[in-house]
Amino acid sequence: MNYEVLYPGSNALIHAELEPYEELKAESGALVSRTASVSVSGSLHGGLWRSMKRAFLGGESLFFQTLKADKGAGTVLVAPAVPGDVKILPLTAGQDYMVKNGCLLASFEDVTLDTRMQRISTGLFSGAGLFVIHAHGEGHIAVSAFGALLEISLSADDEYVVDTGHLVTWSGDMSYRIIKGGTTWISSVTSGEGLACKFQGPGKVWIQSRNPEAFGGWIRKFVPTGGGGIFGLFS
Amino acid sequence: MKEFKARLYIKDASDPVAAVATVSGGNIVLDYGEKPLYLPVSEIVIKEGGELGDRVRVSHSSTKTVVLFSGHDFLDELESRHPDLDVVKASRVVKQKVKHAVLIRGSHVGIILGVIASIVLVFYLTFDLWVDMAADRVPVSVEETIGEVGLPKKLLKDGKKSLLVKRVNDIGAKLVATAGDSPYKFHFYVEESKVVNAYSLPGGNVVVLSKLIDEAKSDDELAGVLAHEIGHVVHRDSLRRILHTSGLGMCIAIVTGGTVTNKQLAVLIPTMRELERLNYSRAQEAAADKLAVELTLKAGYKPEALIEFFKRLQKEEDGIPATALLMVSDHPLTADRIKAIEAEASKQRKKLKV
Repeated sequence: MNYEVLYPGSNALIHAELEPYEELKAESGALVSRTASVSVSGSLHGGLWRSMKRAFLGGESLFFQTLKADKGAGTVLVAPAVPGDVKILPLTAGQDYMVKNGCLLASFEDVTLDTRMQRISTGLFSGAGLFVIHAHGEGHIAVSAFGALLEISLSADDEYVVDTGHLVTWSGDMSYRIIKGGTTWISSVTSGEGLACKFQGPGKVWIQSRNPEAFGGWIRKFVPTGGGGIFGLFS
Repeated sequence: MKEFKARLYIKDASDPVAAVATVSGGNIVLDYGEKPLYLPVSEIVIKEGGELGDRVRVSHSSTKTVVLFSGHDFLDELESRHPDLDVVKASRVVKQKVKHAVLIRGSHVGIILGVIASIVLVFYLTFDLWVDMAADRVPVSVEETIGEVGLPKKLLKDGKKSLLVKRVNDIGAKLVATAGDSPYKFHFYVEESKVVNAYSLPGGNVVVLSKLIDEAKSDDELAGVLAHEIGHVVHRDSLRRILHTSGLGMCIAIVTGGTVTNKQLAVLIPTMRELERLNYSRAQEAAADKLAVELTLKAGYKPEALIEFFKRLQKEEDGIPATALLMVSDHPLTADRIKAIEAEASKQRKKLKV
């Protein structure tokens, strides 16, 4: 199986070439196009319990679709819902990744997807959610971001701080904790940075250049509100 | 010799290489396809690794090497080989944490549920506060609409038993005239019923049941009841009861000004129909009594007549069917309440010099 990211940047999508009977798993609804030789089936990847856990705790779709070349070789295109970059990450040497909810676009080869609960502090304040996707096994995963996707490499002694809301994926071997964004609590609030995530190497963390929540807040300013409040019925 | 799969981060690497670890001759030996790496056990630092704390992280600072093991099995091996080393003794705490990482997370779920339960409890305990805040934010025009919806369908019109209606309206008008400036426009209605009761609706509609008028021996007694109900209107007591019955969500929605759909508002309608059966709190009754004393005195009625009326109804209880005594059972006239009314009456008499 060959796969690559086409149009890297805001309009990235995955192009995969499948040999006969090869298959990949993609997030439900992410399929853009396929050759007729590729069949699509919904599957509870990892069984019902894992799928339920992933769907209800991780925010991922209950069904991952299986794209299988069961009528001969074929190609597929898979794209995320948001405008942003896509990267393919290798799962080798027994390493694993934690992926923020909704950022896992596809998985290739023998990758297992689970849901893991983070620590209360990191879960509530990291912007990645209390439950994250735990990808492990041997193979590759494709992660999608809102905006550009940056890879930060940390060696054993390195520490790195990421603003909440920009996290996408990080190596499972890394630990991180929530810290105040500024030097003091007051400067954290006045600088608008609030809280941040401090990672401890060795490992890698991938961050997205745009914060979806901040973007949503910006959009909301231009959306007219419904009007007709509670007393509309009586007035 | 036991072998353990490990992820080895050498020097400045941020990507691991797969390695096989063994414990031998006071060293951790890491075989990763090249020349094996030896880490003296006495020089290593052991911690739990990963955000989940479900793995063992062994670091060796002088070679800037970090090794990660999934699970805690490697620590068992280390302990059996070098039980006396300080670093190994200290690693027992790490082993417990790694071993119970899932359980620790489970307890965190318990903490979350506890926090949610606490929030619910706080809202439950502060329910009355939310009701008060919501009541303050409901305009009089809305109260009037609720009052219209809540009016019973079988009201006595002027033509039928017009004397009853006229009597109630005359007394009511006198009382209202003394009430001074009020945002409410009061309307007094008579409903045909075999139950002794009177009730008020939000916005100024006061309904007196015909049986109560029959039982009242004087205008003073009737005035006392009407003035008491005017008190409930002015203090927005029935509105509070409606909000209370319609739930915390409705109150919070009103207070925060969030969008409330018509469907949600529809839950108020059955509550309005049940208005006459809603009980008021002692404080609300006391406040209504206080205003009743003032209004009746100012309008030239005897405030003590209210006490007499209640006492007589309580005495007559044997002769009247239980259902007919809503007024008494819903508004029990306790000794405290009688005392308070008497005290207020004498205070107001001195103040008004009547």
